[in-house]
Amino acid sequence: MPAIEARALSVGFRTERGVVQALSDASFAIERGETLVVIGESGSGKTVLAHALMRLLPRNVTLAGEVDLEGQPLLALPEDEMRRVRGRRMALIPQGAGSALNPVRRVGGLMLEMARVRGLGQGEAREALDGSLRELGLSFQQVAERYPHQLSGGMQQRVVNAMAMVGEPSVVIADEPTHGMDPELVDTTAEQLGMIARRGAALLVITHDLRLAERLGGRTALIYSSYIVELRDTAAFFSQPEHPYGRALLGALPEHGGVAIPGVSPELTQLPRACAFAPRCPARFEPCDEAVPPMFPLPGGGEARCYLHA
Amino acid sequence: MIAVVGRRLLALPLILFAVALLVFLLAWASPYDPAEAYVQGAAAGDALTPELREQFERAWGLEDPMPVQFLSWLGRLVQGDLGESRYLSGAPVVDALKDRAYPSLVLLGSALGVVLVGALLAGVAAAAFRDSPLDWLIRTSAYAATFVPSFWVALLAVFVFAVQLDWLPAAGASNLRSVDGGRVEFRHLLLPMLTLALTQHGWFTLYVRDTLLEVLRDDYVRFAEAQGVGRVAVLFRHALPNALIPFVTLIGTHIPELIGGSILIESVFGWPGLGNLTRQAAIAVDIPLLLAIVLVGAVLVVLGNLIADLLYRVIDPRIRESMR
Repeated sequence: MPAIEARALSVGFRTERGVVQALSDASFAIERGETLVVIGESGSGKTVLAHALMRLLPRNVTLAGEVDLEGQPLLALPEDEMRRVRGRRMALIPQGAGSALNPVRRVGGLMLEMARVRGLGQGEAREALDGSLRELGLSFQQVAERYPHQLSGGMQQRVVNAMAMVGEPSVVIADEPTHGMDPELVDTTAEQLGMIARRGAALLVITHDLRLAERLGGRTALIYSSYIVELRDTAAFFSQPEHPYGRALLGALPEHGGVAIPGVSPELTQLPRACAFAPRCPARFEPCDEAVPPMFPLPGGGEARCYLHA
Repeated sequence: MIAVVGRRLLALPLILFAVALLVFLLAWASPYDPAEAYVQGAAAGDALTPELREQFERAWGLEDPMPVQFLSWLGRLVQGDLGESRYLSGAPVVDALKDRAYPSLVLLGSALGVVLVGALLAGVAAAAFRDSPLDWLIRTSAYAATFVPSFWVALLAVFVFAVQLDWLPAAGASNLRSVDGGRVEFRHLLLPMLTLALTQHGWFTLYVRDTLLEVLRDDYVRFAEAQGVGRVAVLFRHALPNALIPFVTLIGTHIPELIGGSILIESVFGWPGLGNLTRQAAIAVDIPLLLAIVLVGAVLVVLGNLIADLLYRVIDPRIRESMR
């Protein structure tokens, strides 16, 4: 049984300008110890995916589809049960560790509170936190009495990573974990994320950093305008993407010639009932404008949302 | 921390000097002629003859140039001599202030306490149940309390609770210190305290609500939620301490409002404090008394701001840090 599985998950936001379709028909499963990297440009729906899995969405949201955590359906859970799930079985590594730590609370108190929410006793919590911190090269004693602003960026990151490791959650979701980091810190963060997966959590990493995705390995889901358009082994994706958007995206990297993709992404309030990438696609043909393509299996494993692979 | 407190305290005499100068200039520039005011207020039928005026002006040093007047007033001020109050039949102003300060501090302090507790409860409730009927009710009453004139609320309170229901006395608190051995007459305190608190809580409540709503959108609050921290703990342990930091400064800046409000409230309820005395001194144009009261008010404002400023540094670890 996969640690987490999404089936036909869709997320829309009701706004004054109409419904913003932030995520459409997303299906994937992650086993324990496995990594899925979700990549895509800003506003493509990556973060919404992370928040939808944990049901951390505002009130004006409409959700469709299913999310199972170790076989247990999550979307129908009452809110207080969902809160227990969030605390004990899922963990979030937030974007920007610095702003995720409460500025007026000591780090030790914050960490202990979170660990107790995970169901650990007082002494147990301290020990578990110290264990996780030591795996990341710190100790509980080193950070406990400090306030978040007294820690370096790297230490803050280790603190939130250690929080995500405590209590062995089944699923760890990292939302842009390297956002705004210098290259050195990106390196250690990538290592630490790998460690979290090796310890047995299903790891979902949201990023727009293609190099980080490549380093993390596992599988990669490429998102374009709310749709997962390609879901494949990470190494295979980076050596030869199958969806025209994937090819165009990698072609836009400086080392591949830096060719910009013509046109712009469609408005999420007015997604076409057809392939969302078709207007910018060099391989566009008749079926592309007739219906939204489903995910087609690829010969070498994985799937792509493109009629070329029908 | 100690260095900052020290620096602030060193600046205090300078601020107080500036306050004294301003207060003096205010009196000097006022259209009232001290001698005329004195005579008109005194026994009816007296007329201000030129001889009488000259006598006053010599006695009070009014012939001297303004800076000399100021310096001699300041000199006596430093020695604790604020002159005599004609309104209080020639009693020293300092004694009058001493007598009246205690009831005023009791009223202001207890009202401020009620305001803070009430505003915290109402503000947190409004933010926690945002856009609910409760939120609407709290916001509406906070706005209403802010723009309804306080003397009107006071008169209404007297009418309802003292006259109609006869639950509490409308007035008649004695001079708490001299007559009652300093014991607060709680029965008498209740109505003016609650009225003052009611008319002053609006900004505080709205402020708590709005800051809390802002803080609830912050990353660390959302992170706590994502960690499965309960709603109540998120509100009180994660959001509220951050929302309280700016709230503390609001207390300091609101002390003048509170003092201003107490003038009307004390007058309506016949409270034997400085507020009531202010009105009486103003109507009687008792300039030495007025000068002294304004001075005391200004000192309270300065001290209030100082305390708020220091407190603010104590509760925010980021600022505490930068002061080491």
